[in-house]
Amino acid sequence: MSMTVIRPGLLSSIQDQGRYGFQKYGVIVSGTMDSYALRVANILVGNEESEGVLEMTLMGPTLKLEQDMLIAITGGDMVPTINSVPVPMWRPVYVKQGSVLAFKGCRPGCRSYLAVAGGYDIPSVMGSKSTYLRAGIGGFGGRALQQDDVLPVQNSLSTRARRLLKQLSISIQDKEFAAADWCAAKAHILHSSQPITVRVTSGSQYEYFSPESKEQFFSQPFRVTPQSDRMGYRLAGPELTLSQPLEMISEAVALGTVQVPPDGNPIILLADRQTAGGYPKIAQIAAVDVAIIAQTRPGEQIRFQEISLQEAQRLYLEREEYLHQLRQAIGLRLL
Amino acid sequence: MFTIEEIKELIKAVDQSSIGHMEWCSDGTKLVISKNAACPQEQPATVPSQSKPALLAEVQQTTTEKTQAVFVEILASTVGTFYAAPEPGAAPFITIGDKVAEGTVVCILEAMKLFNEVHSTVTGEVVEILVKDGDFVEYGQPLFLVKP
Repeated sequence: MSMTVIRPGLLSSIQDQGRYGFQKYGVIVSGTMDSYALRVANILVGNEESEGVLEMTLMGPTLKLEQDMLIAITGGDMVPTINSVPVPMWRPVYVKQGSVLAFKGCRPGCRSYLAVAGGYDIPSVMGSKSTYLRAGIGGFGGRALQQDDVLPVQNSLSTRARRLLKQLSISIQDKEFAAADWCAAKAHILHSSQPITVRVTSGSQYEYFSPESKEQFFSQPFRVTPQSDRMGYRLAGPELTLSQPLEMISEAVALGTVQVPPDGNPIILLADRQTAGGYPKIAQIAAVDVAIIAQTRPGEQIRFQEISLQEAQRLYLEREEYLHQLRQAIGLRLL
Repeated sequence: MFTIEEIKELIKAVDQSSIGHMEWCSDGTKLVISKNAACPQEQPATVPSQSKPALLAEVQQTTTEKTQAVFVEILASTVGTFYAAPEPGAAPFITIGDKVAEGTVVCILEAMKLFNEVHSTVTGEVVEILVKDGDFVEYGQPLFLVKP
């Protein structure tokens, strides 16, 4: 089974939950920018949550589905259509062979995710299907999709996927696609008002920053500059300063670490971040809010809100509980 | 419709059991039998000693022709929380006066993290919305009244 790339979109690459265990060799984690959207997309088509999906950035691709497939689209809204008919997101959709699935510009949001039942048929490299773009490792040939690429799709479906297909094939009749009449929640990404609030805990070197900078960091909005990508989002706003010079040895950084280089403009480290960093870290984005950053477009404004570690952990557990219940709910529907 | 003999039998059966309240609905007929000491209606003078639990038997014969006129109900297809709009802040799916066709999405019922679309089972004009946003509804509960 396969999808043919008619138009590749701005940056469409295969990502899963990331490549772990190799940072000590200098191999970065990569993986999805929006883990909520990725996991829900996989749950909706009966895949393991860790299965690879197609991450589409800002302008989406046009794909021809060469066989009947069960898909789900989550994340930002790229106004997806099948043969020019709008197709609903956040739910499983059974699509007939030969259909053309097209995505446009993303609004709201920044990244959209396309999961297919069975997953994309690409090899796992160092334990992951994620694409390490800068090194050309993993994913579809280590790169983003290009025109005329043939993206292979696995043939085998999970029991859950087969049951979903069976239910949807009742309603499809002679139409080109059939979507379930139920969906999962969009959660975080519908931030129509700016600045967008992002919750953070104070970073390892927070205390080294000047009192004005600490105050400004939590009260002033920051603009996401065009110099933002999968590696990190460069922000513009009040310039942050240390109360005195700090000699730092490079240390570990995490997904969502906010570090401040000497020019005073913070950088949010994201999926393709380097393995270690030597700049002072003023904050750490709560795990559940990294996806909010992933759905923020360059030019938009964000504002940081401080929360405690306990609160960040509570939010994390709440999210896990939610996804667990979602999986169960879909399982019960298919009985 | 029950005969008087059947009703007497039913009352006796309920009285002798531990059932406190019973409702029977079928084909436009509703029968309510309740062992309720504080009953709103007056007891007939022939009721015997107070040691027996007070019984209230009420037969409501309501036919769809009499009360609901020509309105058809759209029922909840699942238990869940009723939402009138596709998402918070969006315009509701339908308002009073809208025309719906069979299959039109009229609301969302959220259960166990899944948002289920409820489709109209009739074609007509919406005359009443029986629940409000955020209400928890039961399976089969009437949600809308539609004039076909």
